[in-house]
Amino acid sequence: MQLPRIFGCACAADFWYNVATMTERFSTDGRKISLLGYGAMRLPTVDGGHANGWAKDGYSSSGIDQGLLNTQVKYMLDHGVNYFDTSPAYCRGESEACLGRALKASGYSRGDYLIATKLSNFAPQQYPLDECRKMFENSLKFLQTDYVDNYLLHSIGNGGFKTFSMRYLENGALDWCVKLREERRIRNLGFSYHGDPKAFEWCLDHHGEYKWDFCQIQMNYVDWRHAKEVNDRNLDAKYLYERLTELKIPVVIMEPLLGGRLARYNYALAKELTPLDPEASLAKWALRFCGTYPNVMTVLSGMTRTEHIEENVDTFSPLKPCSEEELAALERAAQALLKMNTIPCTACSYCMPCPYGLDIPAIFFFHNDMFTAKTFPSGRDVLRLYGKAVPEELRRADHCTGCGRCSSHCPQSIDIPKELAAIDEWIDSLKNEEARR
Amino acid sequence: MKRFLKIVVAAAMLLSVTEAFFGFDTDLACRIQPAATIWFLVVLLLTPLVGRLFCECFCPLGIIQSIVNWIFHPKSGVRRVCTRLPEAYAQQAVRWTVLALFAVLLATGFGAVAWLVTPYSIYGKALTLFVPGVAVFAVVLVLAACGKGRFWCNWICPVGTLFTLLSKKSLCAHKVGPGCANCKACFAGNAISAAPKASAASPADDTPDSITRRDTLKGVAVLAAVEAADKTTDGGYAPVSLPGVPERPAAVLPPGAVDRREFNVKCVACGLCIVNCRGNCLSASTSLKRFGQPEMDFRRGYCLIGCNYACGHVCPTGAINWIPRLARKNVHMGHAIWKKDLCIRTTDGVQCTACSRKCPVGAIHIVEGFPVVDKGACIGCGACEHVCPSRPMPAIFVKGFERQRLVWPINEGELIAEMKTLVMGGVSCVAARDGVITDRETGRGLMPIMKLLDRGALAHAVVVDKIVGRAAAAVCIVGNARKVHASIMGADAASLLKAHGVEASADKTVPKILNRDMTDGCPMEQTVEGVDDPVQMVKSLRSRIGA
Repeated sequence: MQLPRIFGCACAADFWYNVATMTERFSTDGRKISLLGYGAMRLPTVDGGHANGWAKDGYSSSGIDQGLLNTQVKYMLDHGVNYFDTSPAYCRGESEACLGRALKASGYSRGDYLIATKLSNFAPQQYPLDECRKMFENSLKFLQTDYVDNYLLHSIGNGGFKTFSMRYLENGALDWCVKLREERRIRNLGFSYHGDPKAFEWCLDHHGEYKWDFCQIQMNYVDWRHAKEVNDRNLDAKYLYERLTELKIPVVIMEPLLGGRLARYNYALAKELTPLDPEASLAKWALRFCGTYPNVMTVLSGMTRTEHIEENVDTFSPLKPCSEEELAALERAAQALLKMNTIPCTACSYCMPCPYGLDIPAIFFFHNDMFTAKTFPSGRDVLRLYGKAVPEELRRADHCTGCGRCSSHCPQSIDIPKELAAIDEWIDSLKNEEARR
Repeated sequence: MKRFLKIVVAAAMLLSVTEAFFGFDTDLACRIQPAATIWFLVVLLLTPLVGRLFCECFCPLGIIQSIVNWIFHPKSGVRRVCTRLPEAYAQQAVRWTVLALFAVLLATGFGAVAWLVTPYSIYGKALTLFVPGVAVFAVVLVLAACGKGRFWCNWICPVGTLFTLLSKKSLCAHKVGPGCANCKACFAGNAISAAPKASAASPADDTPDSITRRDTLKGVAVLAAVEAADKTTDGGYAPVSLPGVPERPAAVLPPGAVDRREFNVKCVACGLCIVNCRGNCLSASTSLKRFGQPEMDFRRGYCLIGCNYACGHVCPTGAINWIPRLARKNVHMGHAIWKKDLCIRTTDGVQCTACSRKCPVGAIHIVEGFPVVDKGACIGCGACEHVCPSRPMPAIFVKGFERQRLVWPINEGELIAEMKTLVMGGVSCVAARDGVITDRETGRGLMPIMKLLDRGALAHAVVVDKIVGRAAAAVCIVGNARKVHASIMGADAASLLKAHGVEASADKTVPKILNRDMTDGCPMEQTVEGVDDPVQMVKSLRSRIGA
């Protein structure tokens, strides 16, 4: 139900962006899927942040801005984005309901878009099959629909193979999902993967049995070859992609921008990439990298702000695949990024809420910001910016108790208490430096 | 001319003390303010000669009263009360009573209350928005606006009374000559008996709607730790709240307030140290005996180990000593006490290492799962108390010492290590004799060590300097130093020192000392190139730098 375009398009942004038709790929059952998908994990909030609770200059604790979300979803549907990915865990559990309302309000019919949601039974009390059933029914209710296009086992491997087994195998959840697919209450079954390689290998080994329709992996030009370098437990995205392509399983990409880490200004990245295309943003580079690979079904981006959506829609309409030369430049940029003292946090906020009130993603992003500028800010500036990034003193790194409850939730397997302690030591040394005279 | 001079001095004094509270260059300001330093004695001694110069030109409160007076009554000028008028008798009665009361309070240990009527204290408290101080300041302003000259100085201020006493026989005093007929003409145009006009601004209105830090902290909710293990969704924040103030057996005083009783008497509670605290941990006491005086409040910060006694630096009365001879980590203000029942290890059943990790001197060890405080090493900085997650009260808190423990270095290695910390902290040059750091100097180039030489601080001394080339080596030889240690030392400087029987050591030896841009040799080194006699070298250096 595409609206008639009287002057090309009614959206003001289109006067700036020369938006043509969105590049499309196909799912296993032959549905057209836009190469850019929407990840409903960082929905906009009324105070200008995103609903994971973290915003650039402080944090947002207030509600999701449904009005803005409706406009954004409408804009995306108007421009061909038709893949919407959510989860019962996102945005403190509000993502599904908000996305459901926005899709309903858009005026498009259910067949025009695809909804992906997940079986996010992270807590032990959610392991029993009855709880999983309840979670699925709730998802349908919140999304205001009677079927889900793509259903995922959420973040298999997070917490180790044993957790995976308890979450999906021992309780019969996986068999139940297969049955759901037979009942056509879900159309496609897949899984998203972080963490223990054993879980990934197990799933692929049982592909004949479960017939995965798609798989969601973390892929970007850094993780392509260097995921193992970042954390020994990870698998390189290149390996994951090639394994899946071998089995003809379409790939859905998450973290194409590493939670914004590849989109924010970073001197080392800009230095490698700008000469090739001076006008392109860093985000565009990272998204183009992901879209270059043909077995990629869709690239999910958790776009909070309307301007992100406009820019990314432009990037994908149509997508210009990267040339060999450009891929080489991206590889050089990835190597430059790895040399920097950064923490591989993607601000997914799975670690939150910290029981002792810390704002973990804000602290990590502040740290990364400091270490990615061309010139390192002075001690006084660092302290000032720290105060700006984490305004409440009680949420800063020194209040970490080292209890470690966050670490098991981290999809990037960051040793959070250790990193926080290191950051605090650094901040303390700066404070002492400033106090001398 | 005299009037102009007075205005200039007054403006300089007022600006300097005011900016001190806003933390630009407190060094200068605090050195020229005659609050209780040597300056005060000088002013005191000068008073019999030149009159009550202090109230007119130095005291911030006096200057402000003059300004207010001039604004509201531009024509009247600063009036003096003729001693033969009935008003003068009332004035005498009031001011001497206040002075007597002041002395009694001071003697009975309520010095902190007594200081509340002294000028620096009032001004400081007003600027730091300490409510009682603001109120008194407002009263001072209102009285001044009523057109009775510097009413506060003349009627109430005990310092003013003291100066009046001293200036009785002053050369510049306004004297009533023998020809006075008590005509009251000197009062013309001013209604003496009329009560001060009711001012539109009552003191309450003048009090800004500000609250102290302590007040803002009241009524904060108690932290309820969220069970992270059972969390089912992402994002969000657990509520946080500031901890309460533990009931310390004794308050923790700033480093350098060595003796508690002495501190209580000396401190005028001006609040300078509070606003200048680098660790954001000093706050005004509300206890009656220490009213307004600084004490540690670790809810917002903790005493930084790298701090170079910012509080001692700015203290105008010497209540907080600046201990240049001792690195900050060797002043022990108190020690930490751990309470098992409050600790989240007991209440939440989790492992916590916050206090031990944060301790800057490594004094908290986790032994068998419990924090054990090494009381010998603990300096009482409050970092552990600051980060302790226990609510509503921190499970680890600092008890202040009656007398702070100063740990002096015991051998030369330790002494040099201590001096090196000072040099790392921004001091250019430190000298020590007989195991005690005696002098230090900050500055660029050769000036600091030259100053030490001129002060005679180098004789038989151990000297630690940032960079020692042949020039600095010559200065040390001339000053008869015993040992020289440098972060960076030129190879030829080391041999020069050794040739003259001075021990030399360095963290790093370089063949040549370069200039600041690293483009060429150091100009000082070039000055002494080819000269071998240290005395001759110092002579040419002096002519070069003009010292």
